[in-house]
Parts: sequence; C-alpha cells; structure tokens
Amino acid sequence: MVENLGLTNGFKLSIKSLESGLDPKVIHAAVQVLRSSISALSELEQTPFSFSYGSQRHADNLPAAQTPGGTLYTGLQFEVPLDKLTVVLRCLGDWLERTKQKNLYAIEIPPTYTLTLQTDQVKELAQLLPLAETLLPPQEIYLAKAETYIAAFGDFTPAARANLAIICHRVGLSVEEANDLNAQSMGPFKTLAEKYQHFRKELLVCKQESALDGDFWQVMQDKAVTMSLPEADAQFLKAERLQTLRTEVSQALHRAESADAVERQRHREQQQRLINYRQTFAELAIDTLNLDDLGPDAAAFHQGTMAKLSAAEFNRGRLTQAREFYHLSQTEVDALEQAVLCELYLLSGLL
Amino acid sequence: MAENVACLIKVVDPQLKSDEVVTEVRYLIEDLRDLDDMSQVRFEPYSEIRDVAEIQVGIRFEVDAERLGSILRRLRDRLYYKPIPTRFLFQISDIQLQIETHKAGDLTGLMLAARSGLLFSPVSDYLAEAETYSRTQGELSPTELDNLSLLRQRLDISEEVAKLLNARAAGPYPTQAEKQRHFDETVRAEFSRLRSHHDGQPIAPKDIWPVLQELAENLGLPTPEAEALYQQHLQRYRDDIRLKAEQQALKAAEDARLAGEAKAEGDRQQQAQQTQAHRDQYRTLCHQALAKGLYPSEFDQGRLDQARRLRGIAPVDAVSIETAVRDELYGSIDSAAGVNYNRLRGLLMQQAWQAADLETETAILKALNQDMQPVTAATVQRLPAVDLATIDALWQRYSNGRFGFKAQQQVYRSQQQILQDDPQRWLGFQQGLGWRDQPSWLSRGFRPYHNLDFSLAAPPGHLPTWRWCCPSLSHRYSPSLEVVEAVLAHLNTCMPLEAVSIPTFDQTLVVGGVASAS
Repeated sequence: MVENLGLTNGFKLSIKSLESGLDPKVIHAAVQVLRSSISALSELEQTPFSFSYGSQRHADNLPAAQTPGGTLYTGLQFEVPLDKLTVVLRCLGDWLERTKQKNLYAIEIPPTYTLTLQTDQVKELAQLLPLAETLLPPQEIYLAKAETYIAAFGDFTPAARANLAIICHRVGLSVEEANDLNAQSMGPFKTLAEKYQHFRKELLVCKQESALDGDFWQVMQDKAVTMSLPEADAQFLKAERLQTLRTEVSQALHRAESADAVERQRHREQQQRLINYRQTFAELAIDTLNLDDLGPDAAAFHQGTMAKLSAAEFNRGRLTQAREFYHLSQTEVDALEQAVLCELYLLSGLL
Repeated sequence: MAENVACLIKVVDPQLKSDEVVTEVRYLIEDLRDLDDMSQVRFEPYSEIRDVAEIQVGIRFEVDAERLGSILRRLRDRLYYKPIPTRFLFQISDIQLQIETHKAGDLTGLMLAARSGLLFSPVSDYLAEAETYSRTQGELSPTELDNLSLLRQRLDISEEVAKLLNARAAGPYPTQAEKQRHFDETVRAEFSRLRSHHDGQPIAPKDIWPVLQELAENLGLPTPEAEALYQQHLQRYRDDIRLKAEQQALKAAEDARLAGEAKAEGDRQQQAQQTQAHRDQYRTLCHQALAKGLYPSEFDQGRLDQARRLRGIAPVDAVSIETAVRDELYGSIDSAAGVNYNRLRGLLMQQAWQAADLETETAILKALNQDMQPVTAATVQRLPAVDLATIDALWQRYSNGRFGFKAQQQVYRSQQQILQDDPQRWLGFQQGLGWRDQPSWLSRGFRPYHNLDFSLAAPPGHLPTWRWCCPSLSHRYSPSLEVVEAVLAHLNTCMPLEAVSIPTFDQTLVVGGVASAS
C-alpha cells in the first residue's frame, strides 16, 4: 500500500549493528525480527528493505553460503512516510529493549536533516523522538496524511479523523489549521456523497455501454482525480452506470419482445379463430352431409351442401351463431367455407 | 548544570570562490561573537584543501545548551538575508544532528525546540523516561508515575513541567482504558457509517482495518487487542447484514408467494368471469330466442345449440339456463308434487280460460293424487304450497292480477270484514266471485259450470273455479262449504295475505242476496 516515497514525504532510517564481538547469527536474527516488526505496522507491510552484510572478519568463520553476499545481515535500511516516525521509533524502542545490542541509528529527513545516534540504551533512543519531531514540517505531514485518506476513502472516515486528531496533537497544529488542511485535501466537494452525486450526474452523459470506455472514461478519471474521488469509487460508479445501461437495454429489449409477443398472440388468436371456425363449419357440413346425395362435381357439391345447411333452420341457426361468434369478415368466412367444402368434396370421392 | 552542545558550521556552497568562503566564515564568526555571552566562546577554524591551498570553510565551537536558541536564531537570520548553502552539525548529548540547507525556515523547528528546553538534559532525560514507560505499558502506571516523581525531584524539574512532559509522552488518551474506549468508539462509528451506506446509498467497498490498525498503533494499543475488538464489531456487522439479507430474502419469497397466489386468484377469477360471461351471453341469447314464445324456433334452437358448444356450456347447464329464462319470461312452473304445469302455462298464455280452468283442476287432482275421487277437507291439506303458488302466479300473470288464489283470498277477506256470521259470509264469498246468483224461492242460486264466465270480464277471483271441491260432477257448480273452508284455511297458511286494498265488487248485490237468502 505504501509506495516508494522517493524521500519527499518520507524519512529514511538505517540501523547498523556495532556489536563486533557478538555471534553474527544473533545479529542476523535481530535484524530479521526488526524487519518483521516494521512490516507488521499498518501500511508498512510492503515496505522495501535493504540490508547491510557482515565484514570480512565476521565472514572468515562462516560457511560459504553465509559470507558477504550471502544471507547474514548486520543492519537494514528502509524508507517510510513521515507520519510514521513516532510509531517506527517506538517499534525500534521495543526491539532494542529485547535485543539490547549496540547499533548505529541514522534518520535522514530529506532534504535537510540527518540524525545519528550510537547506543544500546532504550532511553537514549527515546531522546531521538522529541528531537526528530521538532524537525518535521507539521502542515506538510498533516496534509500528506489527510490527502492519503482522501485518496483512499474520498472522505474523512471516523478512523481517519481519529488518526488525524492524534497527528494534529503531536505536531502541535491548531484546530483551525487542521480544518483548513482538511478542506484543502478534500477538494471542491464537502462530502463523499456530493462527490458521488456529481460523478453520477456526469456519468449520465454516457448513454451507451461502449461509450463508457476509451476517451470518455479517461476524461472521467481525470475528473475523479480533480475532485479527489478515489479510483475505487470511480470504478464503483462506473460499474453502477454500466449496470444501469445494461438494465435499460435489457428493459428495452424486453419491451420490444413483449410488444412482439402481444402481436404474435393476437395473430395466434386470429389464426385460432380461423381454425376453430373452419372446424365448426366442417362439423356442421359433415352433420348435414348425405353421401347418397352428392353432386356430380365440386360446384354442385358445394351448392348442394350449402343449400342443405340453409334449408334446415336448425343448421342455419348454428351456422349464423358460429359466424357471429368468431367475428370473421365475410371474405374470411367465404374462403374458409370454400376450403372446407373442397376438402370434403375430395374426401367424399374416397368414400 | 546546563548541557554543552558541540557545533560545527561549514559553508558548502560550490558556487562561492575560496576567498568568498573565507569572507563568509569571518562574517559568521563576527555575527556569533556579537551575541550576548559569546565573546568568551572559542571558535576553532575548520579548514579544507581547495585548489591546492588550505582554506577555512567553517568553524567549530562548543556552547552550553541554553545559548543554542539564540545562536540558531542568528544563524536563521543570516540565511534569511543571505541564503548560502551551509552545513550545521550539532552534537546534543549522544545525538548528532546535521542540517544542510540554505533556507532560514529549516532552522526554525530546532530553534523553537532548543528554546523550549525539550532537547536537553534534564528535561530530555525525564521525557525519555516517561516516553519509555508510556511506550511499554500504553499508560503511566502508578509505580511508573512514582518513579517519574522521584526522577523529577532528582533532576530538579518543576511539577508543572513534569505534568506537561507526562502528557506529551502519554498522548491525548493517557490511560489504557481511555485509549480502548476511544478506539472502540471509533470502530463503532466506522461500522455505523458502513451500516448507513448499506441501508442507503451504497459506496465502493473498502477495507477499514488498516486505518484502524494505524489508530491502534498511534494510540499505543496492542494490535492483537485492537484487532479482537475490531473483529467483534465486524462479526456483529456481518450478522446484521446477513440478518437483513435473510429478512429481505424472506420478504421477497413471501412477496413472490403472495404475487403467485394473487396471480392464481386473478386467473381463477378471470376464468370464473369468462365462464360467467359465457353463461350471460348464452342467457341473453335465450332471452332473444324465447322472447317470441315459450319455445325457441328451430333456427333459434340451432343458434342456442351452437352457442352452447362454442362457449363450452354443458347441456344440463344450458337446459337450466333456458328454463330459468323461460320461467322469468313466462312464469315459474315449479312443483313439489311432480306436476307439469307447462300445459297450464301455455293455455293461460293463449287466454284459453276455460281450458286453463279444466287443466288447473286436473293438475290439482294430480297433485293430490285424487284421481276421480272426491276431495275432502282432509285431503286439501296435502296440496303443496309450491304448487299453489305456481298456479296462483300463472293465473295472476296472464290475467293481470284479476284471477288466481290471491284474488279469491282478497274477496273472502272483504266478506269477512262486512259480514258477521259464517253462512252469510260463505254466500257473500261465492256471490262475490260470481260463482252463485242471488237465491230465490225457486232457486238456491247455484249456476251451472258451463254458465260461469270464462273471460277477463268475469269478476275478480272468478277463476280458477273450485269444481274440484264439488261433491259430485253434476251440472250445478256448488263446492262443498266444508272443503271450501279447508281450502281457504290452507291458502291462508301457504300464502298469507298482506294488507292490501280490497277489490271492489257489487256489495249491494251481495248484501241483498244474503238478505234474501236469510
């Protein structure tokens, strides 16, 4: 999480063992413990360390694998943010209390200050803290930390505020100064909700999923930086907009499909009415059909069947009702009745 | 006793020529000597080889710590007016501080600290002790405070200063309990923030532990202890979220179930409405088909048959609907005795009053199962009320209320109000109905059945006749008074009269007839 600070907002600490008579393995182990302790501190887990190795005198009595250039450390150097000075020096104090070894400590606060101390005493090491703290630029430290929080959360979370309050207390900033720096780091919007609202509004310009990438998104990313909206939040809002656009497309498709379905249903119903009328008419025609009295040709068959249907009042009533029921046009009725009569005529030839 | 500070100041500007450097060093010495109590300080030259010649590039000197503040102020002012890159080296106790700068501001922090006395013994010794105690336990325990008190006395530091130093070492939350409480409150506030976002406008998910861990470190709380506290809150938060998700899922499932039920109910209702609509359509068609007569024409039968098939109405239901419509249009022919009143209805429709009267007699005898047997007062009681109502309704409907049992009951009621004794009342009743003429010395007034008036001009209640109450089928129409009395009583039981207006008839005729009869 912590990037290489390039000694602008950070300080460099180097520790080198001065215990010439001690077993190098013990020193090596102590250095490794210190590295673990520093790495265990918040936001320092990715801190890069560089190590010092033992002198030739040490190496003479060691296996080849542990000679200089091997793995036995006599010291280490690392670089961390300025606001971690107190925590790191306390961690050093804890470590020194356990190891009780004499070391050379060098703190480099760029570009101006370098503090050095040789000691095996915790209390002497503790004297470094007030001196080092006096050299820190209070506003820069506070602002850098506030900006770190804004870059991560887009707003001052309760934990961020608590940490900033402690920094404020330690570096001796007034509440007014802290508020000014908070406002400065927060950018043009007062809350994360305002940032979300504004960014969402800007995203509304994008009406198509494909337009959400490329140049448009590049501009939006620049906007996010300008308004101090973290990248994670910008991506979150982008995903949200993407989801909305997909939902809109899906809904539009669904609406079109629904309209199609309604049209298909209407068509199906119309077809079904035609089929039903055809079936009803066929039943009526079959009921009145007299095989002994078939016409000589199709026309005569048609005429004869229709005459019978019209002659019997009961059948005429049925036919009238069927025609009324299906709401068919006269053309449709005629076509269907003709088709049925043709089929029946063809079938009658088989009987 | 004040602590001594060893100082080395060296001009490191590579742009300056050797003679310029020497001049700057000379001016520097003069500036420092000009300070109060600095005339006795010994400034040792600090030389380097430049361009083969050894030149003075700086000075070394040692002063007591109390003077460091004023020296730093003078040095700062020099840099302010002439920002020459310079290296300052201060040996304070065992700490060596090197400052290399050309900016006056870079000396301000050290200058203020030097004037506060924080950097030098004995204050720095006390502060280091307090800082060490505070770092180790996270707070100053009573024993440690006692040790510090002793140290304060030994170092000759005032109580006020010691208090300030303790506060500086312990930080804004001096006790372990206060630190824990503050941490707990902060964690609680963090999860409260997350809850509010979860319930309202969601935001990008982020890990909050690193900042809380940082807070724990800044407060001096052991990380495992802080993490345990955080985990408790995290677990509670997750439980809440899970519970809410479960509740939402349950609600969604319940909503889906209710929606399913509502849809099923809607479908069922729609189906029922469709069925009802089909029945209504069929009923309408029945009305149309039966409007012209009791029975539909063959054409209409065809229409009804096709309509029934197309609407999926069962034959039995179709018959039921048709019957209901026919009853509605032409009167009900219900019978509890299994008598078919269809013929009677048809005759009444045709206004065939005498035939209808004879059919009524046949129907009543059939209902009483009294085929050709005389009806007695006892057997009359067996006439079902439904059948009486059906006959009455049919006669009333087709005579516009002139005929029927109710019309006859009303005549009897009017006689009851006028005449006191039974013989007069019975005579009046029969005369009122037009069934009997006024008695004379030659005749008792009974009229032959064929002389009765079978038209709408007959008196109210004239029809149907009660020939079925006659003891014999002789030509005289003289119903048995005993049976008539039983019939009226039975009618009153089955069809009690409401308070209605009395039909008008010729009362003088009745009164005169009764008087002459008596």
